[in-house]
Amino acid sequence: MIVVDNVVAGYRTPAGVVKAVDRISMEVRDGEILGIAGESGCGKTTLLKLLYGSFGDGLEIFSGRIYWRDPDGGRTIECADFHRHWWEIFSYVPQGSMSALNPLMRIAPQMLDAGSGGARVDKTARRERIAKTLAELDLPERTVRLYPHQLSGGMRQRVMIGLAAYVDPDVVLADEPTTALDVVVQRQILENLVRLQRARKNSIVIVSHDLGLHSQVADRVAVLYAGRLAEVGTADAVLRHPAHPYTRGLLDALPRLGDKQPRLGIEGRPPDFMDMPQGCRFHPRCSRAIEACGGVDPDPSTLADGRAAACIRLDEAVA
Amino acid sequence: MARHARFLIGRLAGYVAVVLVGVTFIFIIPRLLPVNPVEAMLGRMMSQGAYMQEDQVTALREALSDAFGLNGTLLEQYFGFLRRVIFSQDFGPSLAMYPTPVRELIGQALPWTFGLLLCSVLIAWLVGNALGLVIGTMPNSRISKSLEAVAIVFYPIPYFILALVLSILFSYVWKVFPLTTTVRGAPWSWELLSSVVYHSFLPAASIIAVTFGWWMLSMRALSSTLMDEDFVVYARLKGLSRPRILLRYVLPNAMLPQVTYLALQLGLMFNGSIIAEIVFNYPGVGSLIYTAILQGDYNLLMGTVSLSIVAVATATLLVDLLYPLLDPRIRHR
Amino acid sequence: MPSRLAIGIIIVGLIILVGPLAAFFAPDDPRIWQTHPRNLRPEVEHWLGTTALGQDTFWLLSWSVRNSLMLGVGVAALATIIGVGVGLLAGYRGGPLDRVLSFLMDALIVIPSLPLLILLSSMTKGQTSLLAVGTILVIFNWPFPARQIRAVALTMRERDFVNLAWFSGESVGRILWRQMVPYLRGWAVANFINTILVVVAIESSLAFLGLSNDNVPTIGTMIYWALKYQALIAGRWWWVLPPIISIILIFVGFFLLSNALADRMRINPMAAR
Repeated sequence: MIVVDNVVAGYRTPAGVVKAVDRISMEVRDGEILGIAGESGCGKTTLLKLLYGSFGDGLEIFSGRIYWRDPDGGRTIECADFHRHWWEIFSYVPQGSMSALNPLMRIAPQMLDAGSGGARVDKTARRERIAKTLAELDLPERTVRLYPHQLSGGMRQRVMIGLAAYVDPDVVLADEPTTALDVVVQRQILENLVRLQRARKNSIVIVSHDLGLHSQVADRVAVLYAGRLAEVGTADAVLRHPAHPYTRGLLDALPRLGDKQPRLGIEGRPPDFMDMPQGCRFHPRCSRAIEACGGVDPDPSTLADGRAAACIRLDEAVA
Repeated sequence: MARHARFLIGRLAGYVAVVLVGVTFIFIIPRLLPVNPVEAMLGRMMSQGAYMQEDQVTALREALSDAFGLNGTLLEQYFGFLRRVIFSQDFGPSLAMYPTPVRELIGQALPWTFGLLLCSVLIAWLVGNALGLVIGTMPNSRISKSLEAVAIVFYPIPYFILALVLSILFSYVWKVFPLTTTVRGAPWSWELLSSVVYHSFLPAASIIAVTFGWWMLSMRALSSTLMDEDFVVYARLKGLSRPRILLRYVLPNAMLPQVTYLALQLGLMFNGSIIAEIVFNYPGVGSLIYTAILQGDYNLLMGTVSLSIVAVATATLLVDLLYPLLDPRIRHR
Repeated sequence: MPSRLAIGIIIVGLIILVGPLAAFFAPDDPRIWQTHPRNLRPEVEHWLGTTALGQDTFWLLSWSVRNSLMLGVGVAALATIIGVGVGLLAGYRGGPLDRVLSFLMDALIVIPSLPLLILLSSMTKGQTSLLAVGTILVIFNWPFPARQIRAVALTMRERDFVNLAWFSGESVGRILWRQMVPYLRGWAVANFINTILVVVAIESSLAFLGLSNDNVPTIGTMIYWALKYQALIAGRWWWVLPPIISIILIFVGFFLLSNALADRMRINPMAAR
């Protein structure tokens, strides 16, 4: 389980401090598939990097705490030390798997060397696990001996998933795993992800703007807006009966078969991090905004069915 | 396999064609001039006081014309020339060091030039690329900036100037290195080897100093661009150590264009080595060319120039053939 | 630490001042021998002394710089024009024409120019017309811009905005010109300057070997004459050093300039040569 405790994090730029993640508290529970949804620029990639413990690009935690807790024992690891356990406890599926493989290395060495900062890795054991995982993903055995350019796009994507899964980590973090793939391949990828997770019972965090994807695989969904948590709860609840106006707006914008009329999008666009609106960040675009919305930036409050949403007009919103 | 064969044949055909173009140039150039080398030679001989009778002059003119390949129609001359260059490598006797055949003189000089060029190119290429990798991936350190500054100062300077300056500094002003090359010691003795190295040091240094800058700067550009590539970023996210990322992810990918550039640079480096040899009196092909010029040794000149062109074309071909070995995307499918 | 651009401009400005501009003001034709007493050290009347042939060193230097630069600029301009034309032709037309032209370009790049030039000039020792040398240099240098332009022209064929312009009725020539020029500006400048430098280098190398034209003073011939008259051994540094230093300055100055300009226009200067 990963616990995010009231974290403010972001980057220092010459123009000022950008709080890409602003007072977010949430958890990644053991054995669940968690979806993180939101428009581009809402901070979901930053959140993913925080969950992975990747601070390379100047990312800083300004306040709050992130830590991982062992599902079996009680040992905890702080976020700053996550990187020591990459490909042991945590693993990562990057965006754009097309180009994430070294074109001059065969698949096998690229899979074997993951997480080998310490260089003492049991190659034989790893090879077995790789073979098993690739088989689960319906990849032929000779894949490991090939070069990336000899594989199709879908195969490469499965290799990336296999890479992240074969070490049997506790948490797999995936960044837009299906973007730029056609629908058929998307489905295969998702099935593979779910299948691997069911077998291993680890947690998967998927970041995607595609709500359809979340509705297919996620157990719980968290919706981000402008660096804050708008809503979080079970996928069923959040996606079928959204409590937050933003989530509702996103769902209303999705086209469905049999639509007779054009779908309505959400007016306006996400705010600039340098120029946040006062109070609730969504209120300038919100169809249900009232005066009070401009004065308060609400934290998520818990509802009866266990989920949380950040809106002051909640009781009226639940349909 | 057929694909590989086609690639090979294509490259070889290109090579042969390039050599033909070059050799044609060599054939054409002297014939464009109003100067007839035979008459020029005869004129020189006469003006130096040799007195000959009519029929002797005629006989000599015949013999020289034959030796120069100037008999027959233009086409006959061309094919005769081609035959000589490609098949028999026979350029006749050296006119200045008669009757030593040109081929023999070249044979003696060739190992020197070959050794000098090989070592200089290798050192410049390896050191330049290694340094370029280092500063490309550590952009803002002071070492980076100072190395860059050094490269920028040396890189534009033409070979002969640097060679001249080095020669002036280290042979005239501070008499560290000798002006001429006289190697001592029996073959393959330690004395011989160290003597060779001693005499080769300055010419090699001048070639290396000017060329390594280019490799370093281009490698720096390549490696710093590569650091932002998806697969390098992912390699970092996989938790790989920095040395491994540099050696197995960045370097191999940066080397590919560098190998291509090497093929393009070989001609230029050869130009430079000719100058360096002349300035430092190094007994290689370059000095031979110079001697040929000074002595009006037409045969020697044709021979050495032909050799230069063929040598550079061959080296370029070899580097060209090397590329597929390094890039699996070309080897497979 | 002043910027590279500033240093480059200063050095190049100095060169132009001492070279082409100054040559206008020379009191006598510095090529003529025995105009002045020989081997004088630098003094007020003769800023860099005189040579063993009785020429004023300073004015000789200024003429030499002027001639070297003129040759360089002339060849670079011609080579660039030809190169751009051929590159466009090859890249945009494609097909067998492209194959032939590309082969020609590659061949000319592989073949080293110096041995051929040596061959040419050795036949006409000391009387080589600079025109002939220039012509050969143009022949061996047009492939460099041509290859680059061809590569860009090839991609231009496929680019959407080119197709769009074509569909809206613009002529091919104008399309190429307007779309490609902004792309290639920085690179073209760097390449032009580099070609000048290459020409100056090769001509100086030839002259230094005694193969250039003895009558036309260039920086290379100046060095040649100086060495021929034992300036080095006799310690007459004012004859030998100024041309050497001016070549170094020309190269470093122009290179800094081209580097800084290319940086400004954000093109990789390494790709120019």
